[in-house]
Amino acid sequence: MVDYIETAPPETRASPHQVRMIRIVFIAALLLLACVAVLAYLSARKNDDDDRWVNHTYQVIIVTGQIFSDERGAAATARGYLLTGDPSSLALYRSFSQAIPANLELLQGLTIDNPDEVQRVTELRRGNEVVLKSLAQAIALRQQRAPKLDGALVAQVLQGHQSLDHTQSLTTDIVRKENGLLAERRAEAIRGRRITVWVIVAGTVVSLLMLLACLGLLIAEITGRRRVEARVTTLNQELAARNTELEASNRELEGFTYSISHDLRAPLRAIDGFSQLLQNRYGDKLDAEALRLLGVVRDNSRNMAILIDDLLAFSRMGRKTLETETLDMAALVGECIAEVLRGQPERPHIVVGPLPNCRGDRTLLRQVWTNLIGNAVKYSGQNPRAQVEIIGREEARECVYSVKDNGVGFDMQYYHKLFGVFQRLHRVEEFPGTGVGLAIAMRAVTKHGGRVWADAAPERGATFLFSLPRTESTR
Amino acid sequence: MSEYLQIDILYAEDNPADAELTLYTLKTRNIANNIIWVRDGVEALDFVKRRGRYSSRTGGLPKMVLLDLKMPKLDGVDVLRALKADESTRGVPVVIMTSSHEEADLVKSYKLGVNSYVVKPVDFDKFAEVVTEVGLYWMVCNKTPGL
Repeated sequence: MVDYIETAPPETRASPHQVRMIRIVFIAALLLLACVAVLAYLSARKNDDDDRWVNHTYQVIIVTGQIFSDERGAAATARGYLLTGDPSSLALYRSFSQAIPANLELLQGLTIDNPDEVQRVTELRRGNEVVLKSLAQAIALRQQRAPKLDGALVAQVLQGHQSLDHTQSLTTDIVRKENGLLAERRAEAIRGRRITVWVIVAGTVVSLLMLLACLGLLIAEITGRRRVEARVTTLNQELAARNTELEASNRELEGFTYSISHDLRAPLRAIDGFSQLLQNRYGDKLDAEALRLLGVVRDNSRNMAILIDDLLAFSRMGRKTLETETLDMAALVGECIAEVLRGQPERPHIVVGPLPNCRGDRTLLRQVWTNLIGNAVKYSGQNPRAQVEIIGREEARECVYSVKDNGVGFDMQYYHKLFGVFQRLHRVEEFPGTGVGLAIAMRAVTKHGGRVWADAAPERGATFLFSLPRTESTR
Repeated sequence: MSEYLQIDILYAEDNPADAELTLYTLKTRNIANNIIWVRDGVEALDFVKRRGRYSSRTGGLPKMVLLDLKMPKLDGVDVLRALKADESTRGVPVVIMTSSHEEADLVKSYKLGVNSYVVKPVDFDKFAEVVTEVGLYWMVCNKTPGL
């Protein structure tokens, strides 16, 4: 039977590992995808920032250009007024020069973050003030001494012109710097975008590969499980077939037992019965030796009957199904002692200690107790102060019971033969018996999932112990 | 024991040795004088129901039927079933004697209404004791309605 129970195929053992692996790879792929998404979002934000920076730079360039253009416009219209005294030129000059401060304010606001720019804008403002101031003075002179062009006025105009050159160079400087910044920011934005694109593409490809790996692992897992299922089905079929076979052989064995029980006993009965008839009817014609021989025939037929009965009891023990219940051990032992002592002329002193209750099959355990107590009584029979001690104790997982006697004991070197069927350590003349009792006890206890063992020394008594599991799961 | 031709015991047993020992015991211990010994279940039923070679027999039902369990053709349980199924023979005490300790037979026999079920001991003295006890109980002590 044991040969047919195989351990689980390796596929089923590897399975949890594989499932864990799939889970890890799948989660990693999801995390990677999430990272890619976050990166894409951040990159989009960065692009917006870059765009804002570029726009800002453009704005600075435009406003600076506007200021310079207004300045030039103011200078040109001022010159026109100085030459012609045309009031429309004066009005134009005023509108140009009045537009400048607002733009300067705007420029200052735009560049407030950059100290370099702030400095340049301050210089520009200062240059502007100089230009506008000299223009304003020239116009004031023209209005006082109109319309003559004198040296002071010319000097004033020239001075304004020189200042204008200065602001032009300042403006050019600002625009050049801003252009430089623009190029730098653009290059940076492009580099950032390139890296982002690479990371997104690589992350997506890697996570896709991981998901593919997951799929592959899953397919392998499913295939593996199918294979295991098929194997289990096959094993189950084999087991069922084997079971049928065993049932058949069990039935055969039962039939055989029945035959032994019936067919072997009948001829034995005839041998014994007819020997008795012979003795009854012809006893007076037979001499003593003939009668002795008849007695030998009868003794042996009786022995054989006992052997057959014991053998049948042993085989019945194997076939019996366990019917467990919680047993009152003290009461059961009391019954067994009474049974053993019935018809026993020499009774030993029997001491019964505490006996914990345990679950077990009443019929089987009665047999165990009867056999062990019977042995103790039998083998201590020759001791004039025979004593049998029966005691039990509860342990963590089992109840252990023992039967101790102060009889003839046995040599532990023959221990291995103790529980075998028809194994005896004493001669029949010394102690009657067939040698099945301990084998039956062993079989009954083993059927409960317990153990039987013994300790003894020649002429110093023997102790037999057996244990019963305390859990309800008896086989 | 009786002024009519009363059949005391109908005894079905295929083993002649067992039969001889049983008959010897029953007769020497004066339990029954008029014993009919048949060799199988069919013959036992033929006797009770006056069929076949017993179609012309006179006399009533036996006071008791002693059946061996394992017999050719119809076995003891079959005969028991047939006797207990028939209204006219149901009252006859039936004792099954067998070598078998098998519990299934015991349960089956009691379900069918056997009056006694005894296992034949191998030891002749014990065997004689069992046969005597069964015979005494069912022939002498027991009162059966309608008989």
